[in-house]
Amino acid sequence: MKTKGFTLDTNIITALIKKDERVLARIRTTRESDLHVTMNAISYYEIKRGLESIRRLEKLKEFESICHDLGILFMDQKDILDHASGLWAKLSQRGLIIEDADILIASIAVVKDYILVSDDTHFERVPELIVENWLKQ
Amino acid sequence: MPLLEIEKIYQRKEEIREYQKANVESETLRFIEDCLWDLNLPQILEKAKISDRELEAWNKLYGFLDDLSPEEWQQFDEAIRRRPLFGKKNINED
Repeated sequence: MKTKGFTLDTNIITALIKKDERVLARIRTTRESDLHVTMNAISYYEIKRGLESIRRLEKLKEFESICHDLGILFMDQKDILDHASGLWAKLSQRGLIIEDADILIASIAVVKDYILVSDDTHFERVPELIVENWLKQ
Repeated sequence: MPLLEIEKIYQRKEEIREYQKANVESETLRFIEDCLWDLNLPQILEKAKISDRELEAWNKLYGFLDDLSPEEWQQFDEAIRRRPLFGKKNINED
């Protein structure tokens, strides 16, 4: 199946926020090939959590505006939760369980046909999920 | 228009050739118009606009928190650290 683009995990978005040139370069080349680069619901939640914790209102407002233009992959399909629960059981049976947040991110990516970009190696345990690490290339 | 009817209107061969040439050109223009219609230019332009917005938004995130103090950075890093969503009881329940 043809991928619609890439969804970035929180560690990759944080690297971009911390001015990692590699991430920005990959976003630019990906956009040139007409593929989307998106944030996913869990990463949005985690970054927003960080901004709320430092209580910088202007940053929160700016982040909201940025995310409006970025587009977010939400957990807006029952299929995502069905995939996530099946994945949890599968990994659990094999003794390879990963955190719930990771399971949900992986399921959003798989169901919506996106490649996940992450610096976490444990996503390799997830069947069907295509993972790239833009910090290691 | 059928050639016989054209010949009734345009008597001279030069006139007929002129008509045929114009006809071919208009057909070509119609073809191009159809192609552009099929390509759905407004949709293409809208897509390009979205793409630009998307890239611009990612550019804005580059160095987005440059003005944070070391303490704020520490707080931010701690807050975004992934932790079990449903795995632990609320500390207030203990």
